Amino acid sequence: MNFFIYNSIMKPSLQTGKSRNNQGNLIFTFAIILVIFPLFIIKSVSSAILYFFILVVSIVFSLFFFINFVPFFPKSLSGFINITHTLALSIFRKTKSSYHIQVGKFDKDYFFIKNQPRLDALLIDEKSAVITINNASKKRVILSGYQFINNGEKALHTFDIGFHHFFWGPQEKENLYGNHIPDLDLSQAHMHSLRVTQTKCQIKDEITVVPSFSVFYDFSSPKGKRHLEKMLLDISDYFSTNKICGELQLEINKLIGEHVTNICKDLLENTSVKQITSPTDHNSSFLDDFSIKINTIINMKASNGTSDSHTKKELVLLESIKPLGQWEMLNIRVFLNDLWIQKDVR
Amino acid sequence: MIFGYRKMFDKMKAKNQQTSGQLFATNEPAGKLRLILFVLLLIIYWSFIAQTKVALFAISDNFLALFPNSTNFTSGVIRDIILRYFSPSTIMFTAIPLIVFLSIRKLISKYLHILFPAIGFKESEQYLTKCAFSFPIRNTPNQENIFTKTHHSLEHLKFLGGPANLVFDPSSAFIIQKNNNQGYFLISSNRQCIAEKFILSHGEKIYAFISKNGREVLLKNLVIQDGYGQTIDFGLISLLLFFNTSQDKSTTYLSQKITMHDAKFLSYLGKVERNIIHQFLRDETHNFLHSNVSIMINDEIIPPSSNQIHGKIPDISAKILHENYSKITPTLTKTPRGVSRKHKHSRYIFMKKTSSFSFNKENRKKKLILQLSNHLNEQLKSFFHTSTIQISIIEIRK
Repeated sequence: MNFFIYNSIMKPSLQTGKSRNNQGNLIFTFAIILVIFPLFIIKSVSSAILYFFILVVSIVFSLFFFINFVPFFPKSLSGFINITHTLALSIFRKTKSSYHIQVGKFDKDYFFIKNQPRLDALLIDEKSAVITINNASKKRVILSGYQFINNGEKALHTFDIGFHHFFWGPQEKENLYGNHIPDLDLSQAHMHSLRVTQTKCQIKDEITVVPSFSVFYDFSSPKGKRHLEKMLLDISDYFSTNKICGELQLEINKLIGEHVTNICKDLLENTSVKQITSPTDHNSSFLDDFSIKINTIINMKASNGTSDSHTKKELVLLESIKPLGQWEMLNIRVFLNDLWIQKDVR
Repeated sequence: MIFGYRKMFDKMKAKNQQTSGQLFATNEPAGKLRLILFVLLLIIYWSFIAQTKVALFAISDNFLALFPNSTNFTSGVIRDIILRYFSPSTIMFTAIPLIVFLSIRKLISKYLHILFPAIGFKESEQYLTKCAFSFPIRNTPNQENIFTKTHHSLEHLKFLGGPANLVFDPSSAFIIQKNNNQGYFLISSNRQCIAEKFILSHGEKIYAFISKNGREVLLKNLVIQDGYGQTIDFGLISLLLFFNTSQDKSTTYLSQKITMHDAKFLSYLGKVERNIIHQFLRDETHNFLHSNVSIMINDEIIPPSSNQIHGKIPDISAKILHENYSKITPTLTKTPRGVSRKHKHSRYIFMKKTSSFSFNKENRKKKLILQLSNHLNEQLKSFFHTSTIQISIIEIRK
């Protein structure tokens, strides 16, 4: 990639210490204007009025002037008042009160934010969303843009609303039934066994099978922002009841993965090894059908009324595995990578 | 009556926004005009203060003693001007708005720096000054610092945006996002030249960069076991994602409005996250080949839906959002005779045979390429909701 940028404003610089100095300079300047100048120039009531009038007008004018050049600052009157408030607080507060959220992550550790509830504004990128909660436990979804936090609100959950992918079950090159795993240390061996447990299930003839999946999902909402907001609130409610807060990425992955395993168990419990391994008279093999069924069920909308007997049958199955009913807008695609069958089966 | 007022209010609001937009336009003439206006306003204000009573408040007798009494009219005027315009109180009153103006600029710069730690405080300050008064671009890059500066500069352009001049490689492309999500534009070029120029205006920010390498997807070592127990090892399947655009030869670059979904998809090609797209294409390709590898073995008829004229963009069915996977059926059907399993550690390893299929059979290969590209395009539409992005298969190598 070759991009050349001509711009005088592009000098990289590290300014952590400097920014503190600047804050001091700023306070010093305001002290001069508000304390020292009046001592010299205020000699009468009229001069005092003129002085404060000029001070207020110049502050409002300068703020209005520069705020207009920051692209993401809102241009409305209420926005102007909020920005002024946020900027004023930023001079005196030692801690940061505005955060930039990119791909569902705060630019600081979430728990740091949680312990510091006095947030003023959030700049959220297009691939993120935040759920805030106020003192009355009322939640609010905040999508991309420069958004102000109301008094008493805290950030509860953050979402990366882009595309996601994760593997569920054993990894591609893992030797699942190898007797010796010499290369693995204790933690690796533990992870290995955990991955096996994720998808392990038994089929009809009490034989253990371990499928491995590649799962993709995304939050895109063709129906619009309202639907997306509703879905995010539903997901947030689900995790709130389970007392999970912060970045939800891994939790969502886990939940979808577990859901895939449940579907898989349900589909396989009445299947024999013969059905899996033998040729069929159908157009596609058992595993192809299996993969299609998983995708059908996981993307099925619980609210859909249908007269199709096949779909009805799957809906019954859906009820038995407690679907992600309220998450129906998630667009999920599951690929079956491998299916491991117990070695000593003949 | 209420509607009348509302209409009037809306009209006024729109007019105000228009005026505000013109007043704060960020281009060179507007910036210079603002600078001249600012200086003029300051002079007028200075004169106003000098003419008021406050101008003489802080003048001490010692200061007055510096200026002897006037002997004639001219010296009297000069004495009066100096006393009024350069009296400490006039200077202090004049300095107040100037100090406030510069302090507010500092305050906002500091705020931007805190919000985007990657952007330095001085950079933020220069950004504001440049937007307000359109000072000319002083730096010109030299070959040494391009690559060291690029990464940092890109971060800047992603957060704050223009104004900036971009010179880009025509084989690359990028997406700009207009302020307040007004739309995404894909900037690309098909011209055979060394570099293209693009001016990134104020309020436009870089959403994503897409290099030519980023658009190439190499699927290596795809081992497919078909329903007949035969394995075929595809050493390399090379895919290229391209934009469905056309360019007028007279224009230097092409700017095309794209959907949010397309922009989102393309933004994943330029970064580490491209692995998601690559993995998706790999899995889809694997799935397709597993179901349709018989094309390579049996000379089957291609269904009419995928029968296309070579060299043209594949005709893809209308976009279906949140399509159920059940609707995606294999393009070709087969009657399996053997074990159909994807797992590698099969109990039936002895059943695996090496395929006798030959890549010399060009027709079959073409059919496979055609159908695979159709399938992948369909899946891109179905899952990523893309509309202007197409995928083509460059080569399939055994």
